[in-house]
Amino acid sequence: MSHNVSERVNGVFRKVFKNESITVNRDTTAKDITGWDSITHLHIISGMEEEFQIEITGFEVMNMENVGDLMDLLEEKLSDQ
Amino acid sequence: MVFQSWNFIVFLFVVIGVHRLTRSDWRWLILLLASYFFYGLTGWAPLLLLLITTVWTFQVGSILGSVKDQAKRYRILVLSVAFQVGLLGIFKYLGFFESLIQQFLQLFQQPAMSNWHRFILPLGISFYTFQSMGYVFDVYYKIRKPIEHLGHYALFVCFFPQIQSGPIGRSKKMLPQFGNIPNLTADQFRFYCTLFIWGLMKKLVIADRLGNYVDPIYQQPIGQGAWVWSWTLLLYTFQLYADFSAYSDMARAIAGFVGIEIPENFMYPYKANNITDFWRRWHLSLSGWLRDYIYTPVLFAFKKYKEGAIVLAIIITFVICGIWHGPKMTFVIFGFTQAMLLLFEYWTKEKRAAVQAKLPATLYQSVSVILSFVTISICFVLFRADNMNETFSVLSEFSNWSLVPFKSYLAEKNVSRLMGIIALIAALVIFEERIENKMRSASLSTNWQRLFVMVLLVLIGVAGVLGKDEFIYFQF
Repeated sequence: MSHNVSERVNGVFRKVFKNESITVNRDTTAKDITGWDSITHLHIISGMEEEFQIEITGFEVMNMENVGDLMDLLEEKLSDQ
Repeated sequence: MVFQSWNFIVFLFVVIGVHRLTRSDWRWLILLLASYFFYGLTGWAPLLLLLITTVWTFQVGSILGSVKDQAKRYRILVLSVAFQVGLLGIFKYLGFFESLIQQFLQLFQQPAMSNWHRFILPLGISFYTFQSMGYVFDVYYKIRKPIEHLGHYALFVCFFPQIQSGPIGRSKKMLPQFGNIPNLTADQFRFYCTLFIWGLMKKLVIADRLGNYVDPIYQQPIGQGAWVWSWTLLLYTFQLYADFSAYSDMARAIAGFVGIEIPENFMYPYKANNITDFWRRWHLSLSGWLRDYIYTPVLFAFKKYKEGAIVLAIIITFVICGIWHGPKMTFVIFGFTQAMLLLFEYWTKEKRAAVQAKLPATLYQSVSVILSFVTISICFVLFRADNMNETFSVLSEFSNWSLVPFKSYLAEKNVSRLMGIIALIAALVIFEERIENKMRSASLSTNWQRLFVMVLLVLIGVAGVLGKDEFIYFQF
């Protein structure tokens, strides 16, 4: 499950940044990727919602410090479905 | 009591002395008493208001920590923010709302209302309101747990180096420091001494000296012509930066002397290559606060509207940013102008990238930096002018490009002093980042530090403007 989520998360990042060479891991933060600003963050979250068919609230976004937090949230939401 | 006054220096020495003699886990109490004494000098009423804000936000934090139901937590947050914004409104914006209502009544030829009661603006209210409100947001968003120690929290809200004009601290970074405040190492002490004198030099030698050239032109804006105004806008842009960054450096140094680290506020803003970049470098503690507690929540609350959410979030954030600075229409327009510039940059991002790809990197970068600087300098007219009429008067002067007013301006001035001003600005632009990097460097030799401090003191002695006792940002 975790491996699958990680692959799909990477897919969304590659699509948003239009860069096939991007790879993110649990420790990746906005500081690690050039151009990851708040508007790109919005596109990433929207991309995740579309990919995983879930909804992420503003409250949940505020708690994310790195990609690991995002992956945990996605896994939690998927297990609730 | 301003940082560069003798009264403050004596106060600081006493605080450092008592602080040093106190156990590290009780030093918060010394700093709390010193902060209340410092703020109490502005009067009992502002101190009472500060205490109300402290107790209110502490209690709200505790309640938010114990309530599980999210809808209920949201209602508590809204009530708390409304209370704090209400207090800020009463003490800072009442006159502004009154004048808006009076203008509205005039528009419909209705009789004017009787004048409302005006309160004296409590010093630093905008800063400590945002700082304490930030704590409530942090607890609400579960970024941190509510603090149980009221004394530590009270110190967070009133800490004397930053209560007058920031930098606006964050609970996650500051509160953990109060439990055990260590002694300074010799290296740290030397660094903070250098930082304080560096800030003092920027204030007395650059900011206040430039102010002597800017103020008379703003007092008589008509007939100066475009050349004098171009020069004055350039000087004011550097004056504002030197003044506020000087304050921030001195505040950081003073906090450092008593063992507390507070955030940096500037990252060489005039090296920004667009306005978005400028706001990532200017008044970082405010722009970071607005980004985390206004911009991001609005952006994600309306995310289903995609582009609409971006437009709305940028406009709301920057109008609040403008009005935070003061109860004047000029600040509202300033904020709105910034929002429009940011949206323009967002919408032209790809086109600008295409232009960038075709031009030599240095040329594109230089033109971008100059254009951003000129744009900001023009926007700062709204920051400096007393009202919109004065703003229009200044801007209308740019239709007169005759050299005559500029020649008579030059004739009145001491040319060698003007050359000195140009040299100072050039030195600030070229060397500031290098000097500050050197100051931060761990391998800095004691001799270099001594020499640097001596040079700064000589500069202050020779070229410092003494007698001005306010920083520009105190009015906010």
